[in-house]
Amino acid sequence: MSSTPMAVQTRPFAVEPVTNVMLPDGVFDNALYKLRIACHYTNTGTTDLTNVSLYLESIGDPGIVVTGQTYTFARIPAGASVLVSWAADFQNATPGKPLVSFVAKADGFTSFRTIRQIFVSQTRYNSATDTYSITVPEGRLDISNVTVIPPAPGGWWPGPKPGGDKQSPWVGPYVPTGMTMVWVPNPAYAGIHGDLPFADPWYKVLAWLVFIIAALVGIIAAAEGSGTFNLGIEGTFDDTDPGLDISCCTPASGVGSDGTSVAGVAGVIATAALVVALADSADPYWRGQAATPPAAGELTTSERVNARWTLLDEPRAGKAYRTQVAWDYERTTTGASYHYGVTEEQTNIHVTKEVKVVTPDTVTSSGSLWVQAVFTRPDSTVFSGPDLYSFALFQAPQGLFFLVPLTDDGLGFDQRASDGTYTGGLNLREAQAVLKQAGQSTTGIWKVYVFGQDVNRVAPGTPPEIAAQTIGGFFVGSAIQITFDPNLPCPLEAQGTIKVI
Amino acid sequence: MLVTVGYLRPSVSDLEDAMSNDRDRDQDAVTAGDSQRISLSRRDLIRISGGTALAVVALGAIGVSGQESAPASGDQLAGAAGTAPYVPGARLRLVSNSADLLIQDGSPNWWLSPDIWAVPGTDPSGAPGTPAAGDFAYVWARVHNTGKDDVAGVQVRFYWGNPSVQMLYSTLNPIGTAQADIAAGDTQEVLCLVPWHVVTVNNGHECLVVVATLPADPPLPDVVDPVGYPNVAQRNLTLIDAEKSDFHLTLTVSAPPRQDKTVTISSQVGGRLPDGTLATLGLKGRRANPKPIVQVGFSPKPITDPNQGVGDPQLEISVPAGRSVPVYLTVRGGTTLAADEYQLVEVLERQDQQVLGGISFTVVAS
Repeated sequence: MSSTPMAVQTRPFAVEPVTNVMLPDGVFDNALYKLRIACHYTNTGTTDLTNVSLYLESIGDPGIVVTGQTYTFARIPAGASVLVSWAADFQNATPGKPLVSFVAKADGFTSFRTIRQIFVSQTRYNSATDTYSITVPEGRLDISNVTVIPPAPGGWWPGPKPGGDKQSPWVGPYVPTGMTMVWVPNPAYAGIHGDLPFADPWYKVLAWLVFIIAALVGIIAAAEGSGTFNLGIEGTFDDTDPGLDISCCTPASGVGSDGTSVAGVAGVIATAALVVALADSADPYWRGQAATPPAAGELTTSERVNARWTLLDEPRAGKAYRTQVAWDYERTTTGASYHYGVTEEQTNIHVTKEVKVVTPDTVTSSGSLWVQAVFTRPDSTVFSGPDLYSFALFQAPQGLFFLVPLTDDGLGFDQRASDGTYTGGLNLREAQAVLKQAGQSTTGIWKVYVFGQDVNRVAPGTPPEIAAQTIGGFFVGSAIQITFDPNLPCPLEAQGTIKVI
Repeated sequence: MLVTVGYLRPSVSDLEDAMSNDRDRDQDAVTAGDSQRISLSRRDLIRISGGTALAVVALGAIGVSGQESAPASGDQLAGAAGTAPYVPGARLRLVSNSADLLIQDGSPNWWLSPDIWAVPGTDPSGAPGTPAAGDFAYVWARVHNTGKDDVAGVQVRFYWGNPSVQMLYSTLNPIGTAQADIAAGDTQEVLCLVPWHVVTVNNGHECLVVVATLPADPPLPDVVDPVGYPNVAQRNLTLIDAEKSDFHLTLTVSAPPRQDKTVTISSQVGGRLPDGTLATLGLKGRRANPKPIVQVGFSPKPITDPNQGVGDPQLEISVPAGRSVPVYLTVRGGTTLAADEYQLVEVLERQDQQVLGGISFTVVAS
């Protein structure tokens, strides 16, 4: 027998389970203890496979504790990619690039193992210096002097907090507008360029990760209390941009305690402004390094980037919003200091031309809700299969949310694999028990919200400076949008409605 | 009371079976000293590097007597290992269902399991081999489900230990864990992705222990008992030390708390390894040299000057009650072995003509 033609073709990515959002570029961070190890598992053969089982076999860091789980599929079409994930505890994870092995077995084949790396960082906060530090094997990035566009006065109200706290507003979203980053390479290096974090993403991705962790910590704390994240991490930023007299929108109405995904999405969208401002083709560190070659014999011991930017448009997910940015790079070596500065306009390149959503008009209470979404790029090609990590929220008439994954795997509600139509569904009979417990009804108008994050699909082995130009984790389609009118809610725009009778 | 380098005491039937196998295997063995053979010996591999230096290692099995089992405690015992009383010579493993997990013991020597192997280097999918001290290596195990039920979520635990001391789960060093699903009647190779950082202890003599359990399985005793538990297996490995001209190993002979003891340590040279075992040692295709090429000697003091020789071919040791006495083993030679040859060396421990245990080595020219 030959080996089962199922493989994990790209790097597995981190999903935060409370909000269900993917972390930037799929990087795991031990400040968030509970994360899911997610991946797309692809049938690389030319025929459908039957009775397929998939499980995570082992992980190279004993500090990461994975909850064993086996996924079984009666059939996986040829070429289809199924989304699977495993719960894991990263509290004692070590920053690094541990290997993870997955095993697939289908009828008529022997088992086949795929081994991939994941990226793990460590974020901490020093309240004495108001500095966030994120550590990776290649060095440490310290982030301070953060300026933000704050949330509207009064804050968000995602619902009651643990402990009966019904008065405190929920933190965020914060839109970053500037910061100082100091990279301390490990070890000091000679030459123009040092090692990229994990030999892959730009340095700025680490900063993005820090902002998202801060955003998610506030959400997790509101939803579940403390205990599942590093206590040192705070979810607020005190310094607003002195040049701004605006604040961010208030939460959309109807976001209940089950709307943590909405909050998480808002946090990711808001913080993505940082990545847009600092460019994907080459971030300030890479460009600054290129412009400041050190003298022979010198070792670079630290690199500072002070960046400030203005949002020329509201940071709408999937839209080509603009930023005006100015940054200064300073290289400190064992012999001298070198400077380089840039002022420029940058535009979000993680965009879609259209997100088309299809839902049924009417469904009986014993049937199933379903939604189809097609995300079209500016060049009219569509995202398909493992290109996206996508999910939908079905909101019941009285407000309760149900989260379902959207997949393009040709299984279940999805009619055909890899055709660019991401589909998900909700069996109303199964939902009924939950609704009944919450005192809510099945019948009425359900709202449908669709979200999609792009996945970093750079092939393993790609040169770091090339791989770094691809960043995953951006929302290319989102039902929630950030606005800068504090009197208006951040719009939570239902892309579809379904009448349940 | 089993003493010395400590071996797992098998049941009588085990011994008989294994001795029979040994006799078949060792028809070409050349004996130095008493010709009695035992099955419970440790087997080590000695590599001769550059034609002159002895690079060592390999493994040894280790065992302990039943009455020396210890109560379970500590985090290392989590997961069913080491929390049940030890039953000497246990033949049946209590299981949670009709799935039966098996990691094969070596044959005829249980401590050379063909279902456990190491892959030196950074590629866990690389070729099996013998890791060197200071290297990283990945450990694999082959787990069989001989029962009638499919099983999911088999937990496979990997340990390394020092075979010259008592082998208890509570004193083994955990490497990592892995999970596996195994259909009834099927076999699954399982990879532990936590790298084993190979360190040198006991002159490079280390062993691997692998345990496969289901979540609902009853706990194992603290004593490592591959013979009594089919889901437990042990494998001795070879650590390469190319700097050594001789191979040295310190044996510890211990007496019971209230009884003096006198034993004789001697050696035998010759014998063959099963093909499967040779393959996982990276020695596939090698053949046993029937002539005694390797010198083996024992000394009550360490031999640091090669001009002192290798020591005595046989040594009588008296140990006061409750005390332990070291015996220094030296293995030299083998440089005339051909590239496709190896030679076995067995070290035997006897008391009143009764064989208590032993250690085996494999010498090869690298």
